Amino acid sequence: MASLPAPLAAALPRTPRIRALAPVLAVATAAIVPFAIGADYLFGAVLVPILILSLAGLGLNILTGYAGQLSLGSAAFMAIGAFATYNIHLRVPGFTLLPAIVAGGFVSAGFGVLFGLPSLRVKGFYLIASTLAAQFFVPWALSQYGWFSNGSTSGVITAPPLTLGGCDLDNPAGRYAVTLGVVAVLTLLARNLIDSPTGRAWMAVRDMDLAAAALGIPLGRAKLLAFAVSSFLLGIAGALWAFTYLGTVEPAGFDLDRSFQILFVIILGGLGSIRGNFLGAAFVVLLPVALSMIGGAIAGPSLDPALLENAQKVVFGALIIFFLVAEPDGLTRLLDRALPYPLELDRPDETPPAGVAANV
Amino acid sequence: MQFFLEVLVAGALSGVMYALVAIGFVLIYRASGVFNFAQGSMILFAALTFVNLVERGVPFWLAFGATLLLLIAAAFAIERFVLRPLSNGSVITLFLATLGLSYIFEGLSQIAWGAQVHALDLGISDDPVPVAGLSLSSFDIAATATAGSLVVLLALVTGKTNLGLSLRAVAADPLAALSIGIRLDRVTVIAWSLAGFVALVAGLVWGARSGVQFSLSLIVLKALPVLIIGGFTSIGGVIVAGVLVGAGENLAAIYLGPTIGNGVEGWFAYILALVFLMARPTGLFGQRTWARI
Amino acid sequence: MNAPHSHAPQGDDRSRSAIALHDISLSFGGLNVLREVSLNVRHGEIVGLIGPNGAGKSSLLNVMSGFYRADRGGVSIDGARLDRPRPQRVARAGVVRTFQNLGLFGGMSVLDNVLTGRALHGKVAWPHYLLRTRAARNEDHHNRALALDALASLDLQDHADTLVSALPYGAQKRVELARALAMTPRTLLLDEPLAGMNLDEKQEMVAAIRAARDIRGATVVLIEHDIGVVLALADRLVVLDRGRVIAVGPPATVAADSAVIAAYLGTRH
Repeated sequence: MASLPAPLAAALPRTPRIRALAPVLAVATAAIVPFAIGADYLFGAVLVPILILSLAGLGLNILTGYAGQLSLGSAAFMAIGAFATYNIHLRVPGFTLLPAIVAGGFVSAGFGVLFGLPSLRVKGFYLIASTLAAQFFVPWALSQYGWFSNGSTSGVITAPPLTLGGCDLDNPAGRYAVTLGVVAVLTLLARNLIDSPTGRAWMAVRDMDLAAAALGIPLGRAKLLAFAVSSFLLGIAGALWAFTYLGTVEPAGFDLDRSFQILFVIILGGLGSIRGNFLGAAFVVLLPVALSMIGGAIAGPSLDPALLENAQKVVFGALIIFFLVAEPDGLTRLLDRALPYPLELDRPDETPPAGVAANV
Repeated sequence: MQFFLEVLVAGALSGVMYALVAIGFVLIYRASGVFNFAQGSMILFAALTFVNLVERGVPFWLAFGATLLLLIAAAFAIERFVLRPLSNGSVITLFLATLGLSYIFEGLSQIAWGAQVHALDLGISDDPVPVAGLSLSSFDIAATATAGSLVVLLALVTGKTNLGLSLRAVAADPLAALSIGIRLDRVTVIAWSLAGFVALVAGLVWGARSGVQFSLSLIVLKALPVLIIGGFTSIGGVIVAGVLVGAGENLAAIYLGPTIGNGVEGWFAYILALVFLMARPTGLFGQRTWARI
Repeated sequence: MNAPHSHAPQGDDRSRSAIALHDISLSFGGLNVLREVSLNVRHGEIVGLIGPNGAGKSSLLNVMSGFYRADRGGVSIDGARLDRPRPQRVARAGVVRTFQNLGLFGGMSVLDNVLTGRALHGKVAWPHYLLRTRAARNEDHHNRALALDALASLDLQDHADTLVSALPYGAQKRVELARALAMTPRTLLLDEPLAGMNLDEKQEMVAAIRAARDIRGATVVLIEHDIGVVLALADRLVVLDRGRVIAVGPPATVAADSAVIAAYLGTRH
């Protein structure tokens, strides 16, 4: 192997310090500030669902944003993760909560591969047939067969109190800590995978699969891996949804509207972005809160909840179209424009301005 | 045997109703290259508007015309503010935009007209009619006749008029159509207005059958397997597929239901679509596309 | 700095076949695109594939690279007959192609595009990358070095982090060649690599193509309409007209061939 001339070796971009620092700062902030504030409402109603929806968004983003396979069945894989975790924790001796959640993720990944098999033969828009089939079949099966919910009539499952290695974490702060830990670790691992040949293969399949084939990339294997990783993350998000957020879930809570909600997270946040999932999730969780506050300020206590719900629909619909037209790269690109330097280099849209070279 | 045939035929006629909805999708797909997820909410919007006008004493045809005008206005707005800015977007982008549109239509419909169920009386009765030894529903027969006439009408418009020629040209190659002077924006508005017309008819028929309510917008979810099996580009294919899906769903509900549980019809159509898709990745009558490399 | 040593083929190598077609026939719905085309490209040759529009040149390249399945006939790579290979199989055999309409990945940066070219050479499995083990980091560093090397050879090193679709057309074509070179190919199939370029860019590309053969020892088959470039670069020319090979030989001979002239001028024969 010929060795590289000295000047070129020096020009190799090392990971910019800013880029490596930003996620560390984010996690540190998330780990310290909320505990300092200490509001239970903040933990339970805002931060935990934002984190979980970010994870779900990350899962869908890997499949749709990076690998280009449109999926409308995200919620079905969340459901599989939730119910698999529940059953494994309940029935298999030795599986405490965290191992059960991981196992639930793997079960979901398996089903992801199964419903991903049509992608080997079907391209483009028609592929939604497969994830939609999952979206309608899975909740039906989970509520139809009582075994999944240990005999409950409508498929409702209730998570046991949250304990980890003997510590009782069954309080808002504890649930937040567990959720933060899981989401942070999984996001880091996902980031590693996206920045690797696997991630590039996914994007190649997305952008021009014929050219990817000419490079020797095995299209089928890349797609199935995307389905597997995506469903793994979605499954864990579903398990967290049941175990650290709602406490009680039923199959109907993982319906098509939930899938759309996750789709909104990644569209608003930015397809093909990691940071965008958090921004999109925050938006999706906080916007209804903001709208109801505005509605309350305008109409007072006589505010019709149905009117509010429909107003939300109109606002979300309009926002989706607005972002698709005006800023297809989502909130993450808006954020980039607002900051003096780009935090993410995975989607540069121009040569960096002088002084902000790749090897900062 | 008679029971089997009745289930089969009843399902098939039901399927024609699915096809009625799906035709609107085909029109828009051929004109704009997009699967219009908002078609279902357009149907809801159309039906709700119509029924509320009629309930306020507006005569049938006036209400029909007024609703149609509203839909045409919507078509203009959609072309101007959604489709034109996104004309370079990918199929997925356009689909997502129609998803946004569907949310807007749904929200607006219910803000304007409320969420209660409205009964819709079109003057068509639902009586058992004996046909060739089988007992069929007169309503289903009327719906089939409606769908049939709509198809004939559309076939005449697209086949025999200049407008139809433009529609077909745009469907085949939008750039080439532009280059010979076809007004893309005008054609798009017309296609979406036609789809609105189809949505209105479908909304009336469905509304008469099961009442005008929110679940009307979920019909799009039933149209999707029909489109996948029939291909997005063929009206004839969609009718065949509709019949297949309707019949299959009904048979599955009646014969599979007792064994594996209720509610099979909620997902059966999709599994059926998936099976068909594996055999024919672009639908029964869909067009294969070639990539230039 | 190491002096580049020539990999130009020596002795026996020169007569070995890098890629060959045997009696290839292909038709699309009644249209005969290729008729009994046979071709033998020797190691280290630069072969120019020319002919009027619609002659079937791109189709021939597509057959060679596994994108089209011929109706009759076969392809051999390095002397081994491959039975209707898929593009990935062809790539694994060291045959790398570029696309007439650009085969770049629009959503990725220039460097990432070139890095995808290293996909086949990855020996470290994805779980290593998941955990960012030392093995993964080393392979990543090595691949980036090779990718930057390829970019530098086409004067693109300053644009490594630019989104590839933001570059002008000529630069994008250069990125595609850089990616092809990063694959350390044994054989290059180039479909109009110089299209849409100005004189300077053409000179750069020609130099890079020649270096690929002279320094890295690659065999090159190239479709190109710029006759001046083809005459200067190619060792041999193959002329296609209406799906058939009508002339094969050194550029000077072929340029004087009356059948070739007639084909270009459209004389009916």
